[in-house]
Amino acid sequence: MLQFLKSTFAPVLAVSVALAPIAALAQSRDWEVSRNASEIGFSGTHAGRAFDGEFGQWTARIRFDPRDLGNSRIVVVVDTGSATTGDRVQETTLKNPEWFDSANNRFATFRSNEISSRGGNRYLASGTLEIRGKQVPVSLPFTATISGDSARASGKLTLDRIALGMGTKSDPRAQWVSRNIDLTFQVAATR
Amino acid sequence: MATSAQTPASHRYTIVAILLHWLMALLIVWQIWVGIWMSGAIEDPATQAAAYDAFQFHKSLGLTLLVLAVLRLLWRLTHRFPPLPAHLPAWQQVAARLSHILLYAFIVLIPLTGWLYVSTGWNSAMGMAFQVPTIWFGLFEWPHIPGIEGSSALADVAIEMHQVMAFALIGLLVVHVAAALKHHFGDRDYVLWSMLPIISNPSKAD
Repeated sequence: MLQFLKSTFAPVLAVSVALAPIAALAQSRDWEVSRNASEIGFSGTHAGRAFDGEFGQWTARIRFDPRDLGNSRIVVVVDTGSATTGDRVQETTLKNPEWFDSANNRFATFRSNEISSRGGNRYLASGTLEIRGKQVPVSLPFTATISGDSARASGKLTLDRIALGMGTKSDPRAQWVSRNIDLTFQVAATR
Repeated sequence: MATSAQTPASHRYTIVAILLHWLMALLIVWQIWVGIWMSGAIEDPATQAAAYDAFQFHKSLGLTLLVLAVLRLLWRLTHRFPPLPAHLPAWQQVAARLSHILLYAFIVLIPLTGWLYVSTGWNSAMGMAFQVPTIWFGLFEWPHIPGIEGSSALADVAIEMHQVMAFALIGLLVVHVAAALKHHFGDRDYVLWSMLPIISNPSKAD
């Protein structure tokens, strides 16, 4: 039972701790993400077959106001060890040092530096993705629709896993795992 | 089955030995066939996905066979087994002993070298690292042998032995089956019956 509690709540606890430095951002204006209606997924091909998965543990702090993009900010922390694809070989491989290296770099973090409007409900969040202990600049396009106190947002980002240093020993020429990995997210939030 | 009464029960393998023998016979033939197929199919984009699955299955089945082989060896060492027929010429007695020693060695060493190979995380065919965990039939992670990760020299030797022994085993199986049939239909003794007691025993007495 203790083990169960530990394994269930330790990631949540750890994510909370990892978020502590940015907790200062938290204000009543922040959006609260409805985890049940939100998902961060990833997809690509492996051994000639499409795969998709999602992260079971993640948390996001979102301050977003289309009329005040200058003060809008997004921070997402993902527990890399919580990636599931439905295939145990893939899931085990992903945690390995060559991929997420979850033992040493448990969390991947996206921090926006600037959010800009691309017209209509389209936006672009430019920021930094920290993964495997390395920081890379990324631009995350997304759409957001706000009605009253609820919002929906979704976006897709294509990542070059080689550039992130993932699978560079076993599969540098992407003969097994596609070089491009699509990261998708759908978020439902309220305030 | 009237004649079988004349052959002592001690000339028959125990039921555990018989079940292990036929189960392993079936799995080994399957493993060799799949093993040969997948080594080529993995190179072809059209069959890559199926071959990848075959590799995962081959690993799970191979490790299962390793456990069964160890059990079988223990069984063999702790139980009575039928004596060779008295009519056997000396050279055939030597051949029978030798081929069985080789069979036992192969059924342990072939999966063992396979396990060594995947534990190195090295793909000898491509000459590069290739770290794929072994999940036993998708259920739990089977540990890799520690301390040899990245050893390309060991990987090359292990996979070479794995393949050479598998091909040698094919030859040995042909001899094994031919000998069993020769005993049954030629010598008309109890040898095949001792491992396959559902057939009639052609032996009058022994």
